[in-house]
Amino acid sequence: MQNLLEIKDLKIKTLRNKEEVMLLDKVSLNIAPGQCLGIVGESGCGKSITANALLKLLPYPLSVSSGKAMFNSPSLGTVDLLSLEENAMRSIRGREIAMIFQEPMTSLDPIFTIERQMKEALEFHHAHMHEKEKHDRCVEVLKQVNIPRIEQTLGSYPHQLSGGQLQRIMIAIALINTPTLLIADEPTTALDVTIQAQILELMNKLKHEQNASVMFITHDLGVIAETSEQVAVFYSGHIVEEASAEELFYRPAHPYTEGLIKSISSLNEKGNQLYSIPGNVPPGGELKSYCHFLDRCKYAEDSCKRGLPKLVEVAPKHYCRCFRHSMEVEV
Amino acid sequence: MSEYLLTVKNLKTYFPIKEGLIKRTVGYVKAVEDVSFSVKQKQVYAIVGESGCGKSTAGKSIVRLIEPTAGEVIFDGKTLSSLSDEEMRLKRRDMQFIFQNPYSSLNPRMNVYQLLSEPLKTHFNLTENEVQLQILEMIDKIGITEDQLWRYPHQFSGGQKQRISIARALITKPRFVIADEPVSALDVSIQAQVLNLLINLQKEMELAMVFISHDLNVVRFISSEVAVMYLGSIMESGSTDEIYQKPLHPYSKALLDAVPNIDPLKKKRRSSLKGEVPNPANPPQGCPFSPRCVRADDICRKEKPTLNFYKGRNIACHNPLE
Ligand SMILES: Nc1ncnc2c1ncn2[C@@H]1O[C@H](COP(=O)(O)OP(=O)(O)O)[C@@H](O)[C@H]1O
Ligand SMILES: Nc1ncnc2c1ncn2[C@@H]1O[C@H](COP(=O)(O)OP(=O)(O)O)[C@@H](O)[C@H]1O
Ligand code: SF4
Ligand code: SF4
Ligand SMILES: [Mg+2]
Ligand SMILES: [Mg+2]
Repeated sequence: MQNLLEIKDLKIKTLRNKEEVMLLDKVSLNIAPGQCLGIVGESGCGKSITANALLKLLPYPLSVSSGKAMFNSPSLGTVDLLSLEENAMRSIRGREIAMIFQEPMTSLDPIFTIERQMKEALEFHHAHMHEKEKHDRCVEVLKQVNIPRIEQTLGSYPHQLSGGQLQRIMIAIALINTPTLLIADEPTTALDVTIQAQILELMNKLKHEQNASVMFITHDLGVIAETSEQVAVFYSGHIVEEASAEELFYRPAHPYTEGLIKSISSLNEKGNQLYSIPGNVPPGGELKSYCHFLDRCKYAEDSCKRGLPKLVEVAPKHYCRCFRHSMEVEV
Repeated sequence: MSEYLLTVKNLKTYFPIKEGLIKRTVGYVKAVEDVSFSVKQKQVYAIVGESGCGKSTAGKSIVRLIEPTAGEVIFDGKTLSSLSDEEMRLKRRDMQFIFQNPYSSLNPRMNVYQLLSEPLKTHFNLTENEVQLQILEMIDKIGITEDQLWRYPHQFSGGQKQRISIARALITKPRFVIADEPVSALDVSIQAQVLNLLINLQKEMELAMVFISHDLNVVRFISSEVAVMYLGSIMESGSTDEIYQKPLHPYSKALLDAVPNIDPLKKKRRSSLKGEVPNPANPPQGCPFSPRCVRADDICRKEKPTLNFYKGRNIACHNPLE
């Protein structure tokens, strides 16, 4: 397998009033070694559940209903993450695939020092490491993420540190076992712009130094433009468009992508009104049998109701799910 | 009559830090150190800065939701601190405040009708009929229907709740409103809808507004003048367009440079600002920005620059950019 990760037809369901409802369907994605794939969409589109499914972290009653996620594991060879035993998953999660979340505070334990928590992440996969070796590794990764006063920071508790420092520490913990894939779920959303800029710069630097692949999840197209080579746009449980970042920003094909880009650019133009996509993301579990964007789409026609448009290649390596570009219907 | 509806002079608000059993004051959080600006009638004036720089404290000190430590606020020709309680109560109806978080600022036990009638009843002597008429007129503008009047806040989405907060602040037809991050808690797509509503009402009611935000894109869109705050003080203030085009203060420039660019071909990042904002309980000597400023020299580390008129705007810096 040339790619590091190949997700094929991922489908996620949940139980609501004892009935199965579909939250995500027909999600296929590839990540090449060393590549950053951006995933963008309004909240509730299914970005986080996609990431969580890969590491078997879906909370009950959510579950994967079908699909594959083939991962080139350095230790296990090519494996399907979705059908992996919990034991095998433990040797991948936090080691070969690491994850960073939006709220660093919720992923760190308030009653332990930073050093204790970093060592724990290390011990989990390297049980026989010497104390000194562990300490040195902690110092090394904190240096990589530009933490000042490292020894003092190692002895601190989470509440004694700022949000920016905590997010750096989360990145350090993610990097401590040199993962091949880093999943970052809105890692800068809770931070101020100048701190966000520092973290984005840091992630770009680490990606190049370590040649790690990154799955970067955000609702902010600006952040995508700064980090990602390839972008998948999610809408209501589906991928509606996928292309290189340049292609997507300069030649958006799907009306939803066009709307997202327009709503950011209209902020930059002094005018009387801001552009906004009318309506809201439909609540999860209402996957319809026709185009999900129909009731918000300015190009919608009656014929758009004839089925769910298929995700097809509309230009080289540029995929879009819309009848304006192809009449093909998903079966 | 002055051309300014509101003038704030050298506003300062410190919070005491208490320690020990007898709660002795051991120091102060210098949340607002030195803030001065003026707002014209019908103008939208923005205060922008990163979290913790003192924006909310400044806003609340202006309308006296917090008692400032020092400084003067002149509203409509009157110094607010000289007003009696009764006079201040009357002024309140002309000066409203919209909070960031619609979840906590709306009383969950009141329905929309009660939420909107309360300010009317506090400030005016109206018959129930007159109250009803004004409420109907207002909900029409914010896109809430008559049958929704009997619903409670939890039955509305975040965007709708913030519309209701806006209506509650504007129903007394004030001349001035402070909006403290009114859309920051909302999803991006909903932000635009609420901002459009706010700006339409501002124009229609000829309101003067102080718009507080950490979002530089939103500030550019909404305001004609802006004050950039850092660690309790204004660093640069003046025409929004001019400052965004050519910031003269090193901090304004760093802040504007940090905004992600939506054009992927321009993603080559200029080097970002190093370090973090210092603790306002223990601010650096001299210029508050000096520990992080690439242009800092000995004077910067000794003397705090004051806000002075320079090239058509106000700027607090010993070595402004060219
Ligand atoms: N624990 C959960 N229980 C029930 N529904 C959930 C849960 N987590 C997510 N969902 C639903 O799944 C859909 C996708 O959610 P999510 O992946 O978190 O969106 P995003 O990360 O794009 O904002 C939403 O409709 C959400 O309501
Ligand atoms: N009631 C308070 N008591 C003590 N410190 C406070 C209080 N309110 C705010 N602060 C502190 O004052 C500083 C400025 O806060 P704030 O005005 O909320 O900033 P902003 O609105 O710009 O994020 C922060 O350091 C904050 O922790
Ligand atoms: S299929 Fe029709 S409704 Fe759906 S996005 Fe395309 S044009 Fe709009
Ligand atoms: S006064 Fe000095 S340290 Fe402060 S912003 Fe200006 S150049 Fe930088
Ligand atoms: Mg999410
Ligand atoms: Mg605030």
